[in-house]
Amino acid sequence: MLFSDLLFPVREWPRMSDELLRLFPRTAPGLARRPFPPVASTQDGDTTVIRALVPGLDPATLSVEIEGDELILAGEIADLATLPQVAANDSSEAVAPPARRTYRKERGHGRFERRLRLAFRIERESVDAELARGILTVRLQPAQEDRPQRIPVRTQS
Amino acid sequence: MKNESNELTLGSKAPLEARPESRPTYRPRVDLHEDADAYVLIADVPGADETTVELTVEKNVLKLSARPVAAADATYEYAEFELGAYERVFRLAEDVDTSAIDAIVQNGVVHVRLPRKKPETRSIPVRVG
Repeated sequence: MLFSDLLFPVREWPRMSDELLRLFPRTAPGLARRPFPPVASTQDGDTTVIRALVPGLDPATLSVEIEGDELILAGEIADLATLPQVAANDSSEAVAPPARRTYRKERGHGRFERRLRLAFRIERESVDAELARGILTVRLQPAQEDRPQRIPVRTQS
Repeated sequence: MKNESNELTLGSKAPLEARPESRPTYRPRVDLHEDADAYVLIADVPGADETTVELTVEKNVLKLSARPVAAADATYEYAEFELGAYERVFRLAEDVDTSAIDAIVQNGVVHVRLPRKKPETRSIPVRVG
């Protein structure tokens, strides 16, 4: 139902800020709809920490990929109305789910893919992803050649 | 709740001074279904788990509160969301058996099962006149 809301061509961001321009300098502004999943990033020394809100994401469907300077998050959030009821006590219900009626549907369901372009190429070995309590946390570091270098300054005597 | 889950807005939130944190409070997104014998409420509470989700029922009002387990990062360089507490109040249909409500939390989603009361039927013995 909400497939089109969740499947984004991405590369675009809803709100451009100075911080965003610094972190993701080549993204384009002007996206009418909000990308999914919403993300936030913070810096921990050399490590960039990116968090994404993905409540209800089945870990088996999650994929985290690196392509050069892009981090690609993809997965599927199941529409639980189509699944056997989770908290059902009657095991026979799983075999023949009863007809269900839906009164309200505010949550997002469906497949998503989001590409986040970083300001640096990503060191593949540095990438660490953890999914807990509906929040995906990805830690990554820039490739050696893209890290800031301290330039020694000589003095003339 | 039979046709619509009505939310109470007046007096449904704790006064600001009673809230332990200065983080914002969000109204979680929900789905509401009904199957053969129960209503099923599904709410997104990313960051929360069974230790931080609280459900209370008073008369026919169900209150869902939750908060993230881990403290939010001190500073985000870029943020499309902010973690905070979740709170939402639902008025229940009269046929909900409030003593049999069951809930689980999984992957940042709360599933609340609200069984309907079984209609009471009893046989009336018929005597010979």
